[in-house]
Formats: sequence, structure tokens, C-alpha cells
Amino acid sequence: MSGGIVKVKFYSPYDRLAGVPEVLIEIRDGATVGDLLIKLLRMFPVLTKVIKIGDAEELSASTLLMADEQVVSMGTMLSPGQDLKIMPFILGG
Amino acid sequence: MAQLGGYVGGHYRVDLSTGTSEQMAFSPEILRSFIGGAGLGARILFDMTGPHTDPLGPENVLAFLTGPLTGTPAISSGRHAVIAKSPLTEIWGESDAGGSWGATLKRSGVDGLIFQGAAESPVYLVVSEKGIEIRDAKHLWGLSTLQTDAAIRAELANKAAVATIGPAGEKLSRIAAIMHDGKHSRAAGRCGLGAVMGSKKIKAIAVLGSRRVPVSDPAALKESIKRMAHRIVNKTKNYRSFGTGGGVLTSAALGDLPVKNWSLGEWMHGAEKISGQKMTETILVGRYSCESCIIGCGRNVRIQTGPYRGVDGAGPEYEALAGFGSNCLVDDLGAIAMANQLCNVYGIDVISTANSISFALEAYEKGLIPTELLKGLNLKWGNPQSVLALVHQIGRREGLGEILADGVRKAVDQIGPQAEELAVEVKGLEPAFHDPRALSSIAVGYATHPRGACHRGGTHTMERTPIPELGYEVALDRFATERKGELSAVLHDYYGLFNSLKLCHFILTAVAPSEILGWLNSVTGWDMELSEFLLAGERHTNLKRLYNVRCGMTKDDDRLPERLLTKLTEGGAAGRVPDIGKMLSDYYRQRGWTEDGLPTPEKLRSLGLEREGAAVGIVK
Repeated sequence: MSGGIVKVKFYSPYDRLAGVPEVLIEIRDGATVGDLLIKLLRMFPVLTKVIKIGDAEELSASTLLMADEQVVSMGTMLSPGQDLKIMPFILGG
Repeated sequence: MAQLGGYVGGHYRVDLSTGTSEQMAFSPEILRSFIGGAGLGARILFDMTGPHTDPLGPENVLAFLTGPLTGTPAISSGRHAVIAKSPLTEIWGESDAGGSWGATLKRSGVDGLIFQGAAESPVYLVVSEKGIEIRDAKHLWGLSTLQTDAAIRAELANKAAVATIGPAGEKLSRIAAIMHDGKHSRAAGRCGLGAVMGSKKIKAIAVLGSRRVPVSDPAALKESIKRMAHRIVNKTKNYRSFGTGGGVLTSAALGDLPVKNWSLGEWMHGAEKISGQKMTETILVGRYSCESCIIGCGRNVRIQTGPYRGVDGAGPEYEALAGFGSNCLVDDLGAIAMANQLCNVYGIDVISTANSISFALEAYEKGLIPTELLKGLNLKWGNPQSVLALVHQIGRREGLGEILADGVRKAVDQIGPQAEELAVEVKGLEPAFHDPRALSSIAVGYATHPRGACHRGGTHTMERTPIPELGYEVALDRFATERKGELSAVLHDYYGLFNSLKLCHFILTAVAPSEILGWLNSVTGWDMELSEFLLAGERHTNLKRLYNVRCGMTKDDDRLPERLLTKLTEGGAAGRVPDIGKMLSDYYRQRGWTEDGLPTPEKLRSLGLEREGAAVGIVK
């Protein structure tokens, strides 16, 4: 199986919850953001409190996921070498 | 006929020139068509002012208007509108504030106050169940907003909610705000309406009351609120956790956060230092909720040591963090909190003030500001002292602040046309700190909103949130051109309805239009259908447009400044420029307007605006 590494950068407060500012995660070819998040939440179970991958609407309303400056969702395919930013979603005010 | 719920006793016209007041009666039909708040305000302003009205003259109107939901248990209904012809833009002027003032006004038995004329010397008003009293305010003139609030509350046994201007409003700064609720600092900031209040020599309006707002079907309202409360709390939990300032990181990632007077696209490292999350970890001491709110996005902050010691009260919201932070390259949260507090104390609009300062920093850097205006001022990007010095000068109308206190457009008039390319404003109103290059609907939203570059038309927050009842069943791509003009038109009307009901926009992602209509019907006793409700929103927007057309506004004013149509080279919106021409055409078409942006006679007839259309010369 080929694949590669994606760097996940946590922003506050997810960095504090995870205990690290970023983490490298190995993905297989064809992996999606959803696949990566499942892996991520296994590594950092505390994040399941704030990153709700079981409900696409709630995930979109509460968390911003960006890969190389593009907004992505659970079904987006990832490529090795990409950076994924994860932060609470708030827009307005 | 059963009593109409939601309205308490009428609107009152106060003539400050004669010191008299009288009830203004609006028929049930007018109330059903224009509802309250900004919708009813559009009707009042259209009828009572016009193209020849001097915004700072006694003939201008200044109206404080609640909505039928204000003061009821409806969630997040503790808001009121302030309406006048704007001295900043010289067109439709609309602002609003949360807090407790609007609900307290309703509890005094008053739905709205409409001021005309001007007092000979400073006055303040006490509005209570006993009536409307005009009192001498010479002893308050010159005081800050917080000092005024404390003084009046002391005079009234600490029972009043107070709306007041600060020194900036007294000095007729065209970016002056009207502040409410003392240290909680709920601002009606936009459009310079504090200057209108100052021109009428009204220092403050204190309201007291304990009447209940009548609700036609309290059981139905209670049941609906109970059903929706959990959903609203769940969908808005990030606002509670981090305040609107939590959006600094989101906006920075998207390229939505303006950087260095809207010229750069990337500042993630700075954003992390000034975000709502950072505030929560450092200077936050409590949260604040407006009347009937279950979200609690307001921040209370305190700094007890260091250069910004003395910060104590309402914390900076997203707009202050972006405006004084990223757009001035200041990454010091304490300094931004101080700048925000100074705006509240002087009574100046955070958004216009911060835009004026970033404009000045760039103009200074380019050597455009005449030396005699600087009076030794040394301005630098990223220097908190430069920003704070300018906030003080604007609040006091001193030095360079004398020019900046009237906003960016008038500053260009003073400094010269070479500063035009640095000036970011639409129709004279400086934009909120959301970049249309990152979310294309903002472009058409800013260009067409009746009050200028307004972020309260909803487009940027709703691209991601489908509203099936409004015809939007899927989220839209943030850079796309397709459907954005149409979306902006629909959302301007729908958000406008919130401004008429006087509901907070932050519940909008959690509650469907028919559910909001359910609240309105439960409160008033009406049997309004969704189509009639949405038509009312369209009516309100069209009337505001007619007002602006009558003031001389044309399609050419529906534009964006060149700075916002220049590609950024870095960040989440790099290389993107919105197709404003296409979106404008779509916006007009969606509205049934001509290609020149004018409502057609047919459209106006369908909205019941024939009389107003005839006054503008559209309906023959």
C-alpha cells in the first residue's frame, strides 16, 4: 500500500485539548478527510467532544477544516504532503 | 377586535424645539406591513425626511424603535433599532443594539420614540410609565458614556437603562455611536447616529418600566421556545465559548480577515495572539447576555497590570479585534481591548474608527498627510501606541482626529484625491471586517445594502448554511459567482425582517423562517402566512432603496472600492476577485428591478408602495 503523510495543525482550543499543536498522520492513497478524522479521533479521544464526525451538518456548523487553503469536508480526498488546519468555526459579528 | 399583542402603548413623537410630545398612531395595517424596528423606521424616515434634510439639522428624525418581539420571552429578542438620515452617508441610516434598553422601553409602555427638532441646550429624557420627561443635562455634557450612565442611574435610584452619547456625539463626529447599558457597552454604532443625537442636544435617554408586554398566545410561544432552545444553544455554542472573537481564526484561515488596511491576505500568526480563544485564556472574567438571550456571546474583560491596566468591562468583539488588530497589524490583545474600551467611552463606532485608523496609517506611510495635521504624531503599523493615540484624537476631535472623526470618505476630501485608493468604503460607510475576496456574496452584499458596506445583510454567514424555506437547499461555494446575487437579495430581505422584529441574527442558523413567523403570530395574534411575512421583508428593503434613490443614489453607488477588487497574493483568498458585475445583475433581476437598479412600478405595486414610488417618480 502506498500513501504518505498529512500534517494536521490544531488551532485553539483543539491544540490545548490534544496537548500538541500539530501531528503527522499517515494516510493511504485515496484517503478522505473523513478517514483522517477517524484516525485522528482514535489518537486523541478527547477531541470527540468537539469534533462531531457523525453529523455532517453539525460538523460543518462547528468546525472548520482547511487543506492547503481550501475548505474541505468529510468526503474530500487528501493527498500526501497536504496540511490540514482544524479549528472551531465561527463567522460573524 | 382582540388587542394586538407585542405592541404596548404606542409610538411617541418628541419635538425637542418645543419640548412637547404626542402619540403617533400607526394603524394595525401599517404595523402588519412594516412590523416595527427598521421596517417601521423606513416608513417613518421616508415620510418625515427627504433629499433636502440636513442629517445634522433639526429637521432630521432620530427614531428609537422596538419590534413586536422586543421584551417578550422570544429568544434573543432584546434589541432595538435606531434610525435617522445618516450624517456619514447622507442616505438611509440604520443601526441597532442589544442589551436591556429596548425591552425596558417597552416595559415603560412605549414602542418607539421619534425625535424631531433640537433642544436649545443639552437635555436628557426620562421615559417611564408616568410619561416622557425632558430634563436639563448641562451637568452631563462633556462626560464620557460611562460617566453619564452612572450619573443618570444615580439620579434614578439605579433603576434605569440608559442610552447615551459621549464626547464624540456632542462634537458631531459623523462616526459617533449611541451607547447603551453602561459598562456592558451595547453600541448602536453604525452610520454616525450619535452625531444626530448630539445635533439635537440629547445627551441621554433613560428608560424605566415594569409592564409586561402582551402576548396573544403565551402557551404557543412558550412551547415553541422550549422546542427550539436546545437547538439554538447547540448551534451557537462556539459563540458562547469564544465570543464573536472566536471568528478571528476562522476568518484568518479563509482569507476573510483584513490585513494592513485590506492590502494583505495572510496573518495567521497574529490572529492566534488576538483571537477570542486567546481572550478566553487570558483577560476574560465573564460573559454577557442581552435581554432574553441564551447564547451569551458578550465578553467581560479586565486587565489589572501593565500598560493597559484599567480595561474593565465589555471586551472586544470580532470587529474590534480585526479592525484594530490585523488591519493595523497590532497583535497585542491588551492594546486592542483598550482601543475598544476607548471607543465605548468616547462613543465612536468601532468599525468606522478602526477603518479610519488603518487608512491613516497607510496615508502616513505614503507621505500623504500634511505635516501640519500631524502635530508631531509618529504613526507606525503594528504599534499599539499609534492606534491608541488616534482613537483618543478621533474621540476628542483633535489633531488628525479632527479629520478622521468624520470617516474615511470625508478624510479623502481633506487629504486629497491621492488618498482615494486607500479609502475603503461603500456609499460612505466603512465596511465591517469581512473581505469580499474570501466570500464572494459579501461583495454584492456590501455593494447593495441600503446603508452601505454592511455585514448585517447576512450573506457571509449564510453561504454555508442552507435555508430550504428561502430556496437555498445546499451550501454554496464561497468563491462562486452563481446564485450569490440572488442569495444576497433574499437574505437582505430576511435579515431585514429580523431588524424589524428586533431579533438577534445569531439565532438565524438554528431557526427556520416559519418558526420565526410562528413567534410573531403567537405574540401578535396575527395569522400571517410565510409568503406575506417574506413579502414584508422585501417591502422594507424596497422602501429603503426608494429613500436612497430619492436622496440621489444611483446604480453607480452600488460598487466596491478598488482595494477590495485587487487580488491578494497570499492566504486563503489568494488570487480571487469577486465578479461584482454579474452578481449585481443577478441581484437586480432577483428583485425585479431594472438594470439601473430601480424598482419597477409593477414591483412597487405588488409591495403596496405605489405612493412612495410616485414620490420618487417611478410610479406615474
